[in-house]
Amino acid sequence: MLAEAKIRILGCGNIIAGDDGVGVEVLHELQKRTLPAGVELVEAGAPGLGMLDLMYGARKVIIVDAVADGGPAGRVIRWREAELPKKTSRAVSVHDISIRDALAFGRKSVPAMMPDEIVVIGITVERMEKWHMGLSPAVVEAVPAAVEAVMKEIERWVGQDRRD
Amino acid sequence: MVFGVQPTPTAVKLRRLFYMAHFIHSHIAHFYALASPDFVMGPDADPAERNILGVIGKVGLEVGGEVIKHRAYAQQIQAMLGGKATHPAWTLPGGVSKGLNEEERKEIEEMAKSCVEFAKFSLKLFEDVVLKNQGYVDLILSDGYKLVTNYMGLVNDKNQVDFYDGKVRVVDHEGKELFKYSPVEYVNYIAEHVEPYSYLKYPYIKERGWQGFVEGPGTPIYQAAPLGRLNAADSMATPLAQEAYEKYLETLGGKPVHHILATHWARLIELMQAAEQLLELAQDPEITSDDIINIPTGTPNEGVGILEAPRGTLTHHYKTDENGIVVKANLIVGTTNNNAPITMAIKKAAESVIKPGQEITQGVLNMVEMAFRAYDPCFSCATHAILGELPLKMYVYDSKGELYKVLSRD
Repeated sequence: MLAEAKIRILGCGNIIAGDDGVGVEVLHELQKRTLPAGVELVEAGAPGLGMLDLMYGARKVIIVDAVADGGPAGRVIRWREAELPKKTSRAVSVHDISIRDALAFGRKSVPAMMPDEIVVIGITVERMEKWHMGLSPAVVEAVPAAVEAVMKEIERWVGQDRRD
Repeated sequence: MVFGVQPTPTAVKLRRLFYMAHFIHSHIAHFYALASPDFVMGPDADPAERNILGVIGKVGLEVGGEVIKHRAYAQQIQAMLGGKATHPAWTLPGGVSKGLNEEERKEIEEMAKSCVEFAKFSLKLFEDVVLKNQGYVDLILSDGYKLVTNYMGLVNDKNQVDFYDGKVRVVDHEGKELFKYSPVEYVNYIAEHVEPYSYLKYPYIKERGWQGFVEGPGTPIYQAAPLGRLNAADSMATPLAQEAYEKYLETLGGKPVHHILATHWARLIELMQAAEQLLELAQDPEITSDDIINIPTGTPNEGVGILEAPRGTLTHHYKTDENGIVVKANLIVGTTNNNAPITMAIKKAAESVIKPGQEITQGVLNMVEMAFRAYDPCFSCATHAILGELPLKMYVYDSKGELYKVLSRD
């Protein structure tokens, strides 16, 4: 059940749109790891408002997603929720809202059901063409670093839990 | 049917149950996140406030909580059956891969009851915010947001709205049935026009031939999605949705309803039907049967499947080799049906709100977008990158055909 995991990792993106699928690829790599109990991996697709359904009831959430900021391809970025760039206020599609708006909506409406902490691990993309499967070389090379970035967050939270 | 096998009765019910949850999930998002800001905050409100955060600031934080809760319920039901809510690998030729146990059924029943209450609340909210405001009613009924076409929707054997199965019924601009077809017959009735500037085709009624972007009697253009479905059917399939449907027709002057902003009301009536059907299915004694699949034994070949996606009638046509590998596919997806109507609706809205000498503001841009948004079009959602572009821009030309202004939502 979606509501039971303590730490939820949301791998976002579309695997048939080139580098847009990098979040899902990172998730697939994480599936090969032995993860602590209470960590759930979720293939999230391309959610805006739907992001809230997927994090409803979880204590910690990591969002892994492609970033199209024109920066060097394969750069791995870590944002805390408050650090999400304002530019993400743009909607992801005409029938959805932005991640930033969705999180703000959740924090206001259902604060008790929202995670204590949300971290975004972003990977800068090179090309996001539709009907193309596979990542560009620079983005492929960034996947291990993104996996390690996610693992570091998990370890930090599990360590916190032990101390609590 | 590609595999020549019908799903078992329980499998059909489980698929319907799953699909009602999907409809609820989609329709709640559109109404609350996309449509309601235009009405709760006002079409020309500051874009910084004309969003879901503005809406809950005005109607109450608890409403936001209910929105999130019921969407989460719908997602949980889909995950319970499909293993995961996004891209479930659960439906199989002849049935489904997993059934429901009694404990899960009870859980879904409780969630479904709550969804029915939430649908009632949503209809009431529409009444209070939109229908009690004469300005909004006038806007809905105005010529700038009226498009006279034919309408399409899937119906059951009583000509009631059916989201999952049945025949496709098409009615004309006066609501008279033009034809009704089974999925396999779709190529006899629907054709697709191509324009050189777009990769998206323009479906139309084949026997009438493509006549361009024209509305009115004799047009080959049809509209699908909530407005199309409610016009193409004789009635809703559940009691509370039917009650709401009767009020809708009475308020809007009877069928067919040509007012595209009424689509938002139609969407909420559909939310009601989906919630009622979710509850009906959750209380069906057969839903927990373990007879969930008929194993296909024939050689796969060719099949056409049609259902109602939240954004319109969805046709999938596949031809396979003897191993079931697809060798030919044709899809007419929900939004594609509305491609020509969307184009025409935007033009009409723009012509109604952009006047000579008038300042072109963000409010004007939004009034045009409202025509587009009514269709809940599935454009630009194939990628999801943070900081990604949503290329929605309005180019305003003057009477000499020279570019006067470009407006975007940046």
